[in-house]
Amino acid sequence: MRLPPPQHRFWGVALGGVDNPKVKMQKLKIKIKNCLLCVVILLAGCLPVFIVSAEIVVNETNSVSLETNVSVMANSGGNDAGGGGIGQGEAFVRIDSETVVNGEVVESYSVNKSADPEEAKVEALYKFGTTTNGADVSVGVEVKARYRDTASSSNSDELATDGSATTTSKDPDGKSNSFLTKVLETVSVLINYVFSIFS
Amino acid sequence: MKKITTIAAVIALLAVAVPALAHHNNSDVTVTTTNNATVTNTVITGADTGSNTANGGDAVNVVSGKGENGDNDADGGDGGSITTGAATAVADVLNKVNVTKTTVTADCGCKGDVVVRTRNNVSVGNAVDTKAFTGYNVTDGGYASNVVTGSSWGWFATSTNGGNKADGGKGGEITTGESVASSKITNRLNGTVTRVRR
Repeated sequence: MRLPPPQHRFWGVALGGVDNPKVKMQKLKIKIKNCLLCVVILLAGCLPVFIVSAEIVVNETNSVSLETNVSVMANSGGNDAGGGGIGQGEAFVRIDSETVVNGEVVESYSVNKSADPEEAKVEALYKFGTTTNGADVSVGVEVKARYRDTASSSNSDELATDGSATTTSKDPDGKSNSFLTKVLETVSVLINYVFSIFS
Repeated sequence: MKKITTIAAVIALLAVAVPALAHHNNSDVTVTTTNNATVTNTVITGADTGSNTANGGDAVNVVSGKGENGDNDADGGDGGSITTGAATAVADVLNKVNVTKTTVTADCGCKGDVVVRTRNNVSVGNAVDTKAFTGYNVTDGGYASNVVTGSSWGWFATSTNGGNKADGGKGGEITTGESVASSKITNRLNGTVTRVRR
């Protein structure tokens, strides 16, 4: 039977022996600890990369072109009873309009008009338009409501105008037009000045 | 031994991490939605119970001849009665165009990029004309007249063409119902809702 070298035998005796189960268990524990440490280090390095590199990109491009024209008219008049009795019912008009673009209310309009019972004629006109190109918004609003509010009036030219408004938020050619207007105004002033000298 | 253990651990972890990185690249979600819409509404709504006529009849006596031609009566009829109901015209236009709802759910726990692109293009034209009438009714009385063209016999005889009577009819009664015209236009355009859940 061959015996191990004396040193080995000495250290083996001193540490309890290479084949000692306790020593094996300790070495295995050390290995497992090292592996777990490496796993933790690598995961700690990789996870932030995943989190940072994961992006949410939401891109919206919207274009809108809208034009609304509304005309309402109610009439219970214009009756001829040859001297007999006339009872005219009410004439009533109503307009409700609402436009929502991209969740934003860009237009909301409502009108109620009734005519005098004797004249019994009422009319309302409404117009709205809007365009949207990306972030640029151009809105044009024109409101016209006409109604007859006097019973004695029989001429259609005497229709009253109510609630008229015009709004334009953006005009792409506005700068060039204003510049051209300023130039023309300047030229006009100069011409008037020259003529004023000779006159 | 430690070196071998460390190298083995690194290799093992790379073997885990590399597939994870590859999985990240493959787990990107891209949703592209393009909506193009052209809507044209032309709505004409009318309600009419008017323009009724109930005139009385006409009466005309035409007398020609010699002798006693008088005492003629012509009575026009009375106008009738007109009662109209209500006229109600209602136009209701609702445009709900390009409403896009996008929901991305990464149920696998993916950490990839999520890209949602939505393009909405819409052109809407609304033309709404609403009219209601209960008027323009006529109930005039009838017309009455006597036309006497007879002449006398001459100097030796007398004639009587007088005493004629013509009475026009009376106008009738008109009662109209109410006239209502109503228009409602609602436009809901390009509503985009995007939700990303991981």
